[in-house]
Formats: sequence, structure tokens, C-alpha cells
Amino acid sequence: MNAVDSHRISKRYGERLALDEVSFTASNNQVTGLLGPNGAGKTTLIRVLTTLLAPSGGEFSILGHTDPEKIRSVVGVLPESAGFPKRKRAIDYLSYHGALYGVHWSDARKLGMDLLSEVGLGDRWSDRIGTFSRGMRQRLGIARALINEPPVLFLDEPTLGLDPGGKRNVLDLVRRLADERGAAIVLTSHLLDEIERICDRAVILDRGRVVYDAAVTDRLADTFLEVTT
Amino acid sequence: MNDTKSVALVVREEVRDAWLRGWGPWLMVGVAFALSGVAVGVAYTSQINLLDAREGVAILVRLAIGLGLLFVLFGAADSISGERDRATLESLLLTPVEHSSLVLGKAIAAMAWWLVTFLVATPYVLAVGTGPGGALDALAVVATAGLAMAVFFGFGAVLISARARTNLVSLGLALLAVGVLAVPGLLPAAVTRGPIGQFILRADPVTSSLQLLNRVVVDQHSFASEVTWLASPVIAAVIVVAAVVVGVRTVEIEPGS
Repeated sequence: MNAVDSHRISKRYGERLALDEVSFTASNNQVTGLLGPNGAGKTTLIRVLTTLLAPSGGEFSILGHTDPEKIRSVVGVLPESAGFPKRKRAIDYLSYHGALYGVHWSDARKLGMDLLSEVGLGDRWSDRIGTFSRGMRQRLGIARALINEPPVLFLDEPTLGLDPGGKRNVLDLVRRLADERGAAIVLTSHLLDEIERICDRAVILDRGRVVYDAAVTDRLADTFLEVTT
Repeated sequence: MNDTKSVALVVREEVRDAWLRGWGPWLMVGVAFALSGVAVGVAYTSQINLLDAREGVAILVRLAIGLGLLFVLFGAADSISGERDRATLESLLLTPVEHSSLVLGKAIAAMAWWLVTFLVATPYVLAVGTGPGGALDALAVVATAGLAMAVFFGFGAVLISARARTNLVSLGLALLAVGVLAVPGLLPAAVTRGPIGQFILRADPVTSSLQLLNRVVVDQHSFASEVTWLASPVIAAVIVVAAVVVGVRTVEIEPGS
């Protein structure tokens, strides 16, 4: 069974077709890259697959689940340009989200501490999020996405706005999560080199349509160049 | 997850955000300063017989109710659209907690603004209104009509916030609604004397609450004889609570898309 199985998903905003019969799959232990220029439909697809938006057509399942509440309990998501409550301490933020997933406060706190260590923020657990750099916030966002120990992880432009060092840290972390946790990771980006560096498979979206869906090979770069030029 | 447990969780976190990490305590210091100034002024003008003691208490109570309701309104109007603006809503909507529980929890948490303002104002009302000032009558009006209005404002503003695309729209619409409800209270006495005018005064929850305050505190009518003025604030509160509990099943990340 595929971790993510989407079949001919469409999403229409009035007259505009944001997704046009998109089909793709993602498997455990793999990082699947969703590549495409800005406005290609990557964020819309993630929002549909994580039940935030209802599709206009098509169907999908996550680990065989189709019920939105079940899906939300098995996925972790780092939304694009996610905001953070600046006055909260990192550990309080994670504990609260853990509790929202039904984890007892004390267990959520312990889990939060473990996750902060895993993403390299163990020594900043008691600091307010407002004091974090953008790269640290992205890593905190990944820790939050892992708070329910999800088998499927969606990361929407996780390196957006990061400096080269921050990008490298986040991408290394994502690769490690797939290898060590065995999670199915779907990562979106508009940068080819990121997808080539850590993804096992890639899907290129162009104006809401899938134009490439295969392993990361030389043909990926050629197709992406065609789309973006 | 159990719905009641989810609601309690959201209330707890929202209250902590406002009162441990937010502006709550500082705003209450401001309220205390404002009430102190008014209380001193009222006590002084009463002593030199420029102002009736009961009128003085009514001024104090109007200020306390006004500030408390304003805090509830702003807190509730910001609760969901504010998270949408700050891009923190998406991560909440991605949890398995039902959206209705999130909304209900935020609406209940907004009531804390009213409760704390009431607690801060109580000693001032007691100090100025003890004896002929009718302090206990005034507190009875605050605890009943004021609470009903706080529920009406808070739950109503959360309803607006859940559907507003931006925080500015949410705050603007909430203030506009309050402005419209305040209009009947500004009508000339000649207009409100007839049966239609009286109906308008009684049907409008804001004006009705102020009428109750004036009649009980200033005119010294008994609370029991004027209790019918509570009808529209209570009915309005019940309607908006029902609308939040029954009417908000989903919160959209992009309303109207």
C-alpha cells in the first residue's frame, strides 16, 4: 500500500483551475519531491492532501484512510511560510500541539524535548520563539510536524528564505527523517538542486498538471528547464 | 479526542497566552488607573454635592462595562482571523481536534477578559457606592446584564472572526455591529416614548442593558421590578452561543475560496 495515493485530483478556484487531474503516489522510506515554479499548484495540492481544502474532483487516501480526521492524525505538516507565536517558549508550543493530538501534557513535554534535540534546538527549549532565526523556526516547525510521530510528512517549501547553511541543515534533517524513521516524506520546492540532492522520486507540476513523475534522473533537469523557460 | 477535553485544552492555552504571555495584566493595570481616576473624581464631586452618589456609581459601572466589553470584543474578533493573519491557524487546523472545538474554546477564553475586568472593578464600585450609592444593585446589574453582553459580544465576534478573510475585516465588522446596536440608545426621548420606540429600546441588547443600569442604579428601582430589561441581552447571548456551537462546523484556511 502506498503511503500517499492520489488519483486525478482537481481543484478549481472559480474559473481558475489550480490542479488538473493530478495523480501521484509516495512510499515509506522515500522522499518524494514536488517540484514546480511558483503558482504551479504545489501548496494547493498539499492543502488538499492534508484535508485543509476540499478537492473539486478526484480522490486520495493517506495510508488507506480517506476520513479527514483520520488523515490528520497520521500526517505531519510544515505549511509554507508557517507562522509561530512569538511569545511562546519552544517547549510550550510543542507541548500544546502534542496535547491537541491527544498526548498527555507530561508526555507531550517529554516528546517535545526529544524532538527539539533531534532538530538541533535542544539547548533552546526554554527560549521564546520570537528570539529564533528563520532557520531555527523552520526546524521548530519540523519538530511540530513530528509531534504526533506521523508516518507521513508533508513539508511545503521548508527551505524558503533560509541562507545556504540553514538550507543544508534542514535538507540533511529531512533526509535523516526518511532514513531513520522510515517516514514517507513529500517535500515541495521550486529549486531543482534541492530535489536532486535529497529526493528519491520527483513529480514536476506545471500550471496544475503533472509533467514528470519518475526517479530523480538527468531527464528531471531537462523537463524542469522546459517548464521554467 | 473527546470534545470537552479539546475545548478545555484550547481555553487553557488561550487564557495562558493572554494572561501569562500577553497584554492582559498590563491592560488591567490601565483599567485600575482609569477607574481610580474616575472614582476619585466621583467621590470628590459627590462630597461637594455636584453629583448624586448613585449617578457617580453609574458612571463608574458604565466605564467598567465599556472597557470589559471592548476587551472581549477585540480579543474575540482577533481570535481566529488574527491566527489567519499571523499564519498560525493552519497548524491548528491540521490537528485532529474538531474545528468547532477550537472556535468554542477561543470564544470561552475571551470571557476571561470580562471576568477579570469585573473583578478589578468590584472594589471601586464597593468603595464609591457603599451606603446610598447602591453598590450592590450596581454589581447585580454588572453581573447579569454585563455578563450577557460579554457573551453576546464575545461569541458574536468569534463568529465574525471565523469567517473574515483578514483581521482588519473582522475587527471592523465587530466594531460596526456594536456601533449599529448603540444607535437606539442615542435616539431622542420623543422618539422612544411611544410603543414602537419602547420596543426598539427593549429589543436592542445594548440599549436594554443600559436602561436596566439607569433604572436600578440611578432611579433606585428594585432589580426585580426591572428584570424584564434583561430579556433581550440574554436572548441575544443564547442565540450567538447556539450559532457558535451549532453553526461553525469547519473553519476555512481561506474563507470563500
